[in-house]
Amino acid sequence: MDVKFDKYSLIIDGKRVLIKSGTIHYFRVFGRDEWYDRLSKMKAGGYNCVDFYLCWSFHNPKKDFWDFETYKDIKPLFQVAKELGLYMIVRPGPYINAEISAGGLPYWLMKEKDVVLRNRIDGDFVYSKEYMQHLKDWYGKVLPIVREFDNLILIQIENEYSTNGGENEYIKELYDIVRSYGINVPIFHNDAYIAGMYADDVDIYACDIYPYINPKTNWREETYAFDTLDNLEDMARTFKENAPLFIMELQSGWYDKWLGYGYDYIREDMGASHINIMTKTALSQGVTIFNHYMCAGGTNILDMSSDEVYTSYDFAAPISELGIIKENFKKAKEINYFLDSFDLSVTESKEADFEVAQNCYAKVRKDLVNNCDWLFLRNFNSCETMLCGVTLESFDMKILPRNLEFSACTILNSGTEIFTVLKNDNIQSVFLFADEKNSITIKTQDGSVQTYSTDREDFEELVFECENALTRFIFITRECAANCWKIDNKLVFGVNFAYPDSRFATDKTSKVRTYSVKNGFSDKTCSFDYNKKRIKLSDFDVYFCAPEIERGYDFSSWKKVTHNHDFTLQDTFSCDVYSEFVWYKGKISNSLREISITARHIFAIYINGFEILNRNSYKHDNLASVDEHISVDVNPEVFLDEDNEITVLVQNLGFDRGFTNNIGTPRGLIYFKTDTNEYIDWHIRGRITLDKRESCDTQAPYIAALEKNFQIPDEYFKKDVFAPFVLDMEKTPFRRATIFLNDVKIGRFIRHNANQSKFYLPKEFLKQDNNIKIVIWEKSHRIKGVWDFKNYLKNVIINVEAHKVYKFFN
Amino acid sequence: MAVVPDFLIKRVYKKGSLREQDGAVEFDLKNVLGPGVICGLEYVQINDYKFTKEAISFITQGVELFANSVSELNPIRFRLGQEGTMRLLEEVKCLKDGVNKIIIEFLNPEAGRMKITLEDNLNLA
Repeated sequence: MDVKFDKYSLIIDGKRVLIKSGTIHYFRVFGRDEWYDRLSKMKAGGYNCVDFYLCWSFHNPKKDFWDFETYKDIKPLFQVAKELGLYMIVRPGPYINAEISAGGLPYWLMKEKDVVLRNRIDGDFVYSKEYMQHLKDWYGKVLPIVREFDNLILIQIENEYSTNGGENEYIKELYDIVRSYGINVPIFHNDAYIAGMYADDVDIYACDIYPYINPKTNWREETYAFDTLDNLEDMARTFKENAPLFIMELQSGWYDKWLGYGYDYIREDMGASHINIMTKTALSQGVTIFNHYMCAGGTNILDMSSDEVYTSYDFAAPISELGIIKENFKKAKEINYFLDSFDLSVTESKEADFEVAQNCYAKVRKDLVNNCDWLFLRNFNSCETMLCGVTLESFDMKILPRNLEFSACTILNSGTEIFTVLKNDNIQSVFLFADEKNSITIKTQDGSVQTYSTDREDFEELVFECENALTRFIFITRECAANCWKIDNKLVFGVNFAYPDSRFATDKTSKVRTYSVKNGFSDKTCSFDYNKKRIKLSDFDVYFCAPEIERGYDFSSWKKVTHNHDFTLQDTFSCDVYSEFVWYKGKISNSLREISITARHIFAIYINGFEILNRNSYKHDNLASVDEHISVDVNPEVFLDEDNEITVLVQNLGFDRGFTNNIGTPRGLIYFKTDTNEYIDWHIRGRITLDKRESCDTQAPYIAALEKNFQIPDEYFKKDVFAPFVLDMEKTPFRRATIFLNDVKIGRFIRHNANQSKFYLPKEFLKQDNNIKIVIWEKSHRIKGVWDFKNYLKNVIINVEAHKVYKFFN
Repeated sequence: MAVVPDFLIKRVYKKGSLREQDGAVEFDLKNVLGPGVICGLEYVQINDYKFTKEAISFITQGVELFANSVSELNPIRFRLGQEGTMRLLEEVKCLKDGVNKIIIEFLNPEAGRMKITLEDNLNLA
């Protein structure tokens, strides 16, 4: 694909294109079926481009081991995008952030001699040949694949990179590496600081815009957060004059953290008005490449997440983690359909000829393609406000035409927005939003001018005709537009979502209305006969895990770790045993009475199989994990006369994502001191042993697994059904669990630390016949013995249910 | 979201603005980076002398904000393009001819503790 650009827009194969892109993480949404679903929804929703980060650690979990099989194969991902007619932006890192553990850098890399991650130590640039060699190996694996796909239009090097000095040579070297693979599309870097970083070293300047980063604050009141976006054109033009304005990450949601607010809250708080204001303000600044970050949420499986985030990475995105179309998607769809009809790829800023009310924002842009003006009006007041003769609801933003010509008439002024336009030869059908508080002024071909109320019912029409031309204005309400999808120059009303292959889906029996210019309106009833399926799981197989806790377990072959003199651990940061669960075992005297400990993140201490402490909390504040220094008394009764053993089990919730803090901040046991100042010869090993033991030697059981096979009925796997399933842990009596679906780790449940009790069962891993294992780490003080514990777990009830069921129709 | 690297954050300081004024040390800041929130002004150090919260105020948009009243509940919203003057209200001889070293430490609700270290010549005008 031939991709050029000028100051206005990209020019692809000789044609100007306004890029409407959205991000999806293939390392959080798995396999071809789900990729096809999410990308189809994006395409049908008016996006013309998709953005893919490529995640190094996902494919290279161990040194010299590369995995591009099954759901890690990026070729079918790119193929789906291509089949659907979506352009691609590809971002191979090496660093990607994305709230992924270590920002996407492989863990093993941290242990490599002379490797300086991202050529940076404490913010200073330190060039590492060894790091560059590993980076080249990574690029060498993925860039030849990327190059095969001619729907690639842009490629990013590094991500949000900075040093105290602002190095250019590293960025230039990455640029040259990408070019050496014969990739000829424009190269960019994504500047998190909107400071013109590396603008001279790349082809197009691009940046992040995130006004909403703290759910605690009210974004509708803290409008200063929009300052950068409101001044982007002036700022970005000083960085790069002759390239299009490009927002690589235009906020369309936000991630939740451990101890956060939950995605329901964030979604409700941002609402549809946030994406509306973000996108329209970007357009008002002359942006012609925007990328909604994220467009589709996902799931943190395996050990992919950074320590900040929990299993769901829904992101309050337009398409939810489960693939459900949300209100912000419907708003984005409105804007995309408008842009389909009026390509704003060549516009110039123009002086506003009217007063701007307090807390309002206004821009005028001259459209050199459609030969009209567009008014961008925004109301940040908490009440309805009049601006330039237009009534705006609170926190609303509109794009309104002035002097916009159609074949049979001209809109001189409008207080209502255009939804979309369908054309057939010389007939135009212009869908406008019904708006009870505004009007539209139209000039006909004979020169007469008339103002019409836009207070209309759905599908009311105004028709203008002149010689050989007909322009029909059809009014629809916002509610009607929300469930309207544009497929093949047709509009389909009353459906939940559609695919570009002409299929559409509903979740109930619906009257579906279709409109085309040629055939007008037609109605049909789509019958829906599915129920939301709920499968109750009970009577679990229960077995005991983790014999490592017990005294006498042979740990002589484990890796040795020694104490420093200050009782920190010399090799705590042990990527070669990296695992969510890490064991530390050693010998201690029977005279100690107090232990002081710091560990990341969650941990338990056992002496001779007795639990001394089980720490279930994890603090994360100001973008960094907060260490807790805990002291605990030890009951002398747990000791034997000799050969006493201590065991510490640490649950590591991931590495720092490396945006603010060092990626290599140690995990595991950080500090361990006894009142007797003992130097313990620690032995360390990763993973929990899941052996199926019916009995347990410890005085009280601690770690156990529940196991159950279950079936999903055949009807939910049919091609005409979309039914995402979830596992509901809400009513379980335990506090902490790791969930495996068909032996793939698909979730971490930590009650009270995350607003998540329902876990998505990704379609890639969900079969008709399934096995679920839930490893729980719990000791209830009410439970005294092994049999109590076993019965207690056996009687747990967990539901697997279809969150929603949609049926497809043609 | 961004935690701003040193060389960028230094741009906030108006070079050549370090001066003595009415018994106080003053210098000017202008936010050329992006909207920011300051929820704590911890200290300002000029050469070897550290001014604590009690001795620091920030004048912006005609309002003087005292450092010991700045908190997460009462933050300074420092908008893009906004200017302000930092006043250090202790009568001490900390300034010297030639290059003076200035350290400003403050808190940001998202980034935590942040520090700007810079140098400026005394403005005798």
